[in-house]
Amino acid sequence: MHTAEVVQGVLPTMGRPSLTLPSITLASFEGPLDLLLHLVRDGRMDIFNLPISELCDKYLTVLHSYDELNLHVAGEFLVMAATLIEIKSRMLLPKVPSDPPSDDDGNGPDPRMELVQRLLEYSKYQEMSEWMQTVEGERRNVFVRAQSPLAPEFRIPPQFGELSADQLVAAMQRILDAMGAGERQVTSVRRHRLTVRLTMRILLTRITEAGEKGVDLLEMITEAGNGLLGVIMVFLSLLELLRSGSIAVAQDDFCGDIRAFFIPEPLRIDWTIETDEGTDA
Amino acid sequence: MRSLLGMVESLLFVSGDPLTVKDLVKATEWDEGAVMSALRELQQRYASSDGGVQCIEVANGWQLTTKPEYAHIVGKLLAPNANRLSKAALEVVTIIAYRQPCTSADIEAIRGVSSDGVLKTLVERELVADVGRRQTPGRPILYGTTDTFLHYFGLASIDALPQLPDDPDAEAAAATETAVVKAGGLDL
Repeated sequence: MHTAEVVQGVLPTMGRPSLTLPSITLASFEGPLDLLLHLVRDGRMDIFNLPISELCDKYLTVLHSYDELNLHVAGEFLVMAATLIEIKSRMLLPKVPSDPPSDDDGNGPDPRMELVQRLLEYSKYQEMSEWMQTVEGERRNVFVRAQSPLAPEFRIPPQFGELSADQLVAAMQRILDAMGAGERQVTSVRRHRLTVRLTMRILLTRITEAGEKGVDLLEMITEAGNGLLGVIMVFLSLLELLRSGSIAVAQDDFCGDIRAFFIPEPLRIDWTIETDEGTDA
Repeated sequence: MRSLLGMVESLLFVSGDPLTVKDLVKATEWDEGAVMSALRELQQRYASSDGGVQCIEVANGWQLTTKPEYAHIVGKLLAPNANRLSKAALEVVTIIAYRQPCTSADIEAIRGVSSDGVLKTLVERELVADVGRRQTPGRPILYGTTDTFLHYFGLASIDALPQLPDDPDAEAAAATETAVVKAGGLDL
């Protein structure tokens, strides 16, 4: 699985690999367990009866083969070295016959047990990740079409809640571009007596008067008056009115007219209620 | 003359993205069973023709794609836009796929090495997503795989993942479960 080749230049501080070992660089391993698994497989060790002393020696030799260990990278490798040494020393201790005997041989629990479990667990996922790599490759061999590039006059309606704020910004940008935003040179700046609050009041009156028919959203924007500033004010006011729940917008068909309706006070939804969990999460 | 097969085919053709059986039922106004058999028939027809298109089940839906044997031809026309996943990324996404929902610490426990950087990449590529919080101290983020993940690996659904290689614990657990079921269930 691992090519035991030297990946030169990946971690220059790792120094040169020892000559007595097959050249291995830590950088080519995804952590200490990966290296251990490699050593176990490479040395054809029986994972269920792990020669811990041999494994520990090999592991340490690999670590020692670097003149200089990059602590940031090698920290996890060093922790594993300590674990291995601990297991090794516990294996060396004379076995005290415990009573009652904790297993069939009358020995205590095998100190290697936990490590072997971890290695087995990890190797399972490694095996599956190889399968994933295979299907990844297979999938990259089939190609799918982008959505109908040949028919720009149609599109598949987005699912509810699928549009993001970015798309709203993009839509607004299209309206502003259509009005020639950013093309004019500013020669003088006049003070406009136009506020969001005022625009909100004007819009709300208009929407309220329209009653059940509602007001066309695009009409409100295009008939805003006062040029770009007017459009921006209408846009901000509509957002504010929607947020406060004073108006609602509805669209009967996809690509149909969007109409704004007045919502009387008792029917408004209080958006502030559900923020409790949102801020907590 | 219109056939359900033709309807399904035309819908899949314009969609590009996978369509669910539900989408197809809604558009064709036929029942689910009929739509399913039309899909299977369509799949069969594409498979047995020597055309370059196939109909596959992916990401809980159905999609028309090119056949893998024409990959090198199509590959001449298109340039890849994203690299293949690194070994580390594959390991992490595999662990999430099998253990979801799971936390960054769960992944680190298995791999024995911090996986946060890799996890960030996977989230950016939308292969995994934040699916909630574990109700333990620190409320760590739980990760799960997304529809993009199914797309990316060409899996029909999350159940299409093969079984993990023989896990003595899981087998023991399954055996116990079967035994319990056979014994008439636990008295709770």
